[in-house]
Order: sequence, then C-alpha cells, then structure tokens
Amino acid sequence: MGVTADLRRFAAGAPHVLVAEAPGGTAARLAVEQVLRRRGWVQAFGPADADVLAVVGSAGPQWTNFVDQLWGQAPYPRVRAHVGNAAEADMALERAAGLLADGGALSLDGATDHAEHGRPDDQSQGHEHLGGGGMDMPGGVPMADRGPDRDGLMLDQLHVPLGPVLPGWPAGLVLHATLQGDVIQEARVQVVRENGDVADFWNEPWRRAATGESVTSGEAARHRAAAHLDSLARLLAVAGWADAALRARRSRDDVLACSPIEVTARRVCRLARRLRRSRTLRWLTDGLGVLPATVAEATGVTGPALTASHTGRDVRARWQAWLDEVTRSLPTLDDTAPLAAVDSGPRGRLGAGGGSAALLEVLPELVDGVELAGARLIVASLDPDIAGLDHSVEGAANG
Amino acid sequence: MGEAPMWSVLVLPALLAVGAFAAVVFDTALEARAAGRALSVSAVVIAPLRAVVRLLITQRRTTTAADAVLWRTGVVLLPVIAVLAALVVPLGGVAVADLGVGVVWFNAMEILAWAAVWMAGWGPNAALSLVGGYRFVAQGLAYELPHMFALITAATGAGTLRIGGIVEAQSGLWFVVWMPVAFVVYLLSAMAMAFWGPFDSPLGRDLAGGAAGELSGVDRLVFLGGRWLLLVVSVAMAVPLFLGGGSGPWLPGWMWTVLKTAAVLGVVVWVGRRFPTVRMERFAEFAWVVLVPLTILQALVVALVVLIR
Repeated sequence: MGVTADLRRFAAGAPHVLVAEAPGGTAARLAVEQVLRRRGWVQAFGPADADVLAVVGSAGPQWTNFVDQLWGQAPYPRVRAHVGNAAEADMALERAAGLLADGGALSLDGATDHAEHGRPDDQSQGHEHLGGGGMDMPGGVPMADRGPDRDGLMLDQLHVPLGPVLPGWPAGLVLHATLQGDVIQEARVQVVRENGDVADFWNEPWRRAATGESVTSGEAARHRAAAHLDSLARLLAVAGWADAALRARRSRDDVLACSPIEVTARRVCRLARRLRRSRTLRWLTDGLGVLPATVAEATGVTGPALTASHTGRDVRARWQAWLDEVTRSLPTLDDTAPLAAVDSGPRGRLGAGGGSAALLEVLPELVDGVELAGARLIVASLDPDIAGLDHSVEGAANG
Repeated sequence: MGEAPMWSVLVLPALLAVGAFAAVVFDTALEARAAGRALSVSAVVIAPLRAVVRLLITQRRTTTAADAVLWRTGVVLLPVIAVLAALVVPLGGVAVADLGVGVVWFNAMEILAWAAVWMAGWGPNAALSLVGGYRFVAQGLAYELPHMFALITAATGAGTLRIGGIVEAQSGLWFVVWMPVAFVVYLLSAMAMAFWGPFDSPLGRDLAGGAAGELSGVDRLVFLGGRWLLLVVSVAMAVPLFLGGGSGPWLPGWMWTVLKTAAVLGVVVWVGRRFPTVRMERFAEFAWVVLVPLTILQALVVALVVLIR
C-alpha cells in the first residue's frame, strides 16, 4: 500500500489535463494553458489519457451533461476540476493534482462521480450520442449505413460528431460529419452554448467601446494580436507542429501580459519569420479550403478571412493574414489613444451576422468532400469563436 | 561478424529500452525549451520516469463493443517486433543472430508494424482511432517502396543480404559516401515506420491521439514504448547499413556503434520536432513522384558500379 501511494504521488507530479472549454471560457483556458506550460504538465488529447478533467468556463446544464460523458471515459485515478475564471486556474489545478496524489476519482465541483458503478467504458470519442442516430447494435453503438461516395460506389457511411472537445477545436462547436472512410461527405454545424450572455473575451475592448466606455487602441491591438496568435497556435497544433504551437502560445501570453514591447516584438517577429519561411507548412496548407472572395462577401465574412479570400483564398492565405495583422498590431500595443474603429474585432465585424457567424455559415461547404486531416485544418483556419456569436445568430446556426 | 551467446536475447530488450529512454529524455529537453521552461537535468530525466509510473498505475480502460483480442494483440505486437528486428542489428562486431537473410528479416519484422498499428486502431471500435489505424496503412504504401529500394541498395553494394557482410564491405569506404540518397531516404522511412515526427499522423493530434487515442494505462505504455523502441531499432540499423557499423579509430567497436546510433537518433528526434505533420495524400504523392524514382536511380548507379568494379 505504501509503495502504491508513493508511486501515485510521484506520478501526480505531472498530471495530464484534458481541457474542456465551454464557450465563454477563453480567459480561463488561457490561464490554464499557461499554468500547464509553466509547470510542464501535459495537455491530454482525449479522455483516455486524462488524469484531470478541467472544465473551463461557466458550464450550464447542457455542457455539464456533455462533460459527464467525458468524465465517464477517463480512467482511474481521475479528478474533475472546475475553472470558472482565470484567477482560479492555478489554485484549481493545484488542488486537482493534490487530490490525484491521494487517489483521485473525485469531482471538485460538487457533482457526483457518474461512473462509480461501472468501468469507464461508456462511449468512446466519435460515438457520442450528440444527435447521432441510426440503427443500434448491442452496446448502443449506431451501425454504419451506406450511401454513394464521390466515385459513385456504395460505401459505408458513419455519422461522427466532431467536437465539442477536441485538441485545438473551437469551444462549443460540434460538426456532425457523415464520413466515408476519412472523407467528409456532408457536415452540419451545431453550437453547444448555454442560454444567456457568455463572456466574449476576444471582442471585449470593442464591445466596451461600443457602450461608450473609453478604451485605448493599445488594448484593442493587444486583444487582436493575441486572438490571432491563439488561433495560430491551434492551427499549428492541429497541423502537428507542437513546438511552433508552443511558441505561438508563449507569444500570445506575452502580448496579453503586457510584457515590454521590445521583448514581445522580438519573439513574435522570430515566430512570424519562421512560419513564413517554412516550406513544409506552406506546402501542407496550400490549396486547402478555398474560400473565394465572392462567396466570402455574399455570406458576410469579414476580418482576416475576408482579406485572405482576396489573396490565396486557402488555409495558407488565412494563417498568413493572421500573421500580417499580428505584425501590423505590434507597434501599437502600447498606444494610449482612444480606440477609433469600434466595430471590427479580431474575427471581423461585430454584431448579428458578422464575424464568427459568417465563418460558421461557410464552414460546412468548405469541409465537404475533404479528408478529416484537411477538414481539421480548415476549421482551425477559420477558428469561429462561439462566444462571439449573438443570440439571434446562434439559433440560425443551429437550424 | 560474430554471433553473441544465447543469453544476449535477454539483454537486448534492456539495451533497447536504455536507448529509447535516452531518446525520450532528449525529446523532453527539446519540448521544455520550446515551452520556455528552465532546463534542468533532474526535470528532464524525471519527466519520462514519471510518465512511465503514471501509466503503470492508471486503469486500463475499454470501450463499447471493442474487439479486445485484436486490440491487445496490436498493442503488444509493436514492442515485440521492435525487439525481433533488433536481433540482426550488430553492436560492434556481434549481433544476437547474424542471419544470412538479415536484411529481409529486418524488413519483414518492421512491416508487421502495419498490422500492429492497424489492429490497435481498429480494436477499440471508435471512429477517430480507426482513421488513425488506416492512416498508417496509407503511410506504409507511401514509405515502404523507397525504404525497400534503400535497403536493397546497401545489399547490392555489399553483394550480400547478411548484415555482417554489409558491414565488412564498408571497411574501405562507408556506404553513406557513395549512396547518400539511399541513406537519407532510409532515415526518412525509418521515421515514417516508427510514425515519428512529420509522419506521426496515425497518432495525430487532429484525431485526438488517433490509433493510440483510446489507450490508457499499461496498454498505452506498451504501445507508445514500443513505438520508441521501433524508432531506436530502425535508426540503429542505419549504422551497419550505411555508417560502417562499429568501425572507427581508438575506441572499441561497440562504443562506435553506440556513438553513431546516438548521433543519428539525436538528429532524427530533432528533425521530428522541426516540421509539421505531413498529411497522407501529400506524402504519398511526394513518395511516389520523388522518392521512388530517386531511390531507383540510386540503386541503378550502385548496381553499375558493382558490375564494373
């Protein structure tokens, strides 16, 4: 017993944390990621590799239900922690690691351990019952049905919900994909978001300015640069370039932490140079997810995605547009002049129909007929922010 | 080249494990540097130990309607084939078995990795894991032909399929000097075979871990550990094939083998972190349009040299 306890304590020194971010949990997620990076803890890809399930942001009933499913899939010893806001991150993770050292199987937000009665074997990723239908097999797994594929053959079709918790995936987005092999035949967007207002971290300066508050353009520039660096970090992570993703996250944290502008600028420029020079990254993102300017304008896409639709139109053009905006924002990070343009956040125009809502609208068409790996890059290159949606839009996106 | 006594079969896995551990330590150091953490020897050495202990005490999970036999077989197969492939890899002047068909044996063992990863991906009955398993099969189709041409080039140069014979043939000139293309392609395919670095899409982050995505506890340890062993073995094979085996001045042969292997392994681990993951459809195109013709040309040149000599 003594040896097991010792081993458990030793292993709990670097727990693997699965971050389940609810829409509106952006600030808390950034704090959690920063803690993980500093301590050398590992961000788990899925529930099978998780010791700590960190529910980030305010989780309402819908979200809690989903997180319960994830929790059921995590192996023992396990601890569930709730990080409501950025200030709680350090404490909550610290406590979680402490409990893990003592044996785990606990939930820190008062909820009961739902998998107490059986093995954590419920649904595996890809078989979640988020609207998945079809015939049921023993075990509750829907069977594959059949349909013509792109070459006219009758092939198995599998309905797989992608999200809402996947590495580098927009929080709260579910893409209901019909797969043949790993090719997406059809995709439908669902948004898992609680009713009521959720904190909109990236657009915050513009929203405050719109209500008449005085906001400096430096603050807005920091949010814009950090938002793009965050999107970039996720895109790079999905592209399988973990080191560059880590560097993008560090730059993002520097920008938000208001560290001295020279240090930040040097690091960001080094990253930008490295990415622009990477022939492999260009080769891998070329010609993927082409969004023509006419379509972008017709659906109301604004911001960097629109800029990119005038240049290369593909995933590569979109990450390059982010980089351009980031490097352009650098000199103005400490600008104390009041914010002039009040209606265009990092993902484009604010308000109904703009920004992320338009990105969600073009998304299903772009991933049609694309392999899973490409589709993941396309989603990451649009990176719609569910927290930035207005309520009217959310209903439309779900319909 | 001699054969080691029978008991060396027991030492071999331990040696491989030490090599794998060293590679993981180096990889951890590179990761810590990218994350901006202070590099301390204790942190870098302890982190992999912690990871191993963690997996040993974590519960093994299962999934709904999983094919347990297939799944566990795939998981266990990976380290087993790594050790079997290592039987013919010489350390200095001795290998556990210096088979007359050493190159073929090595190639046959590593091809079993296709089955291993595919079974591990199929077993848990989960969509993303399944996609990961199939990605490795597709990857195999891309890397295997250039890989075999690279192996054959070395065998042609020496006129034998025996690894010991290939080492002896390099007593004058290392093969890397006059078959550089085969050497580089061999290293690329070694990475692809161990699904490491730019070829890690079977375990991709975009698939939430892919073929390993549903593994926990000991299963995960065995599978991922097996993958590191496979990387070490396939890199270690580059030394007798192209880098003159244990030949070198002053130091004993086994020391040279270890040094050369460590150097190549370091390069491979570093390169693996230096590039984004190459997607299947792009890699297949590159392999068939660029790598296959290049390696055929290389084999042709070597064959002509052998004929004329």
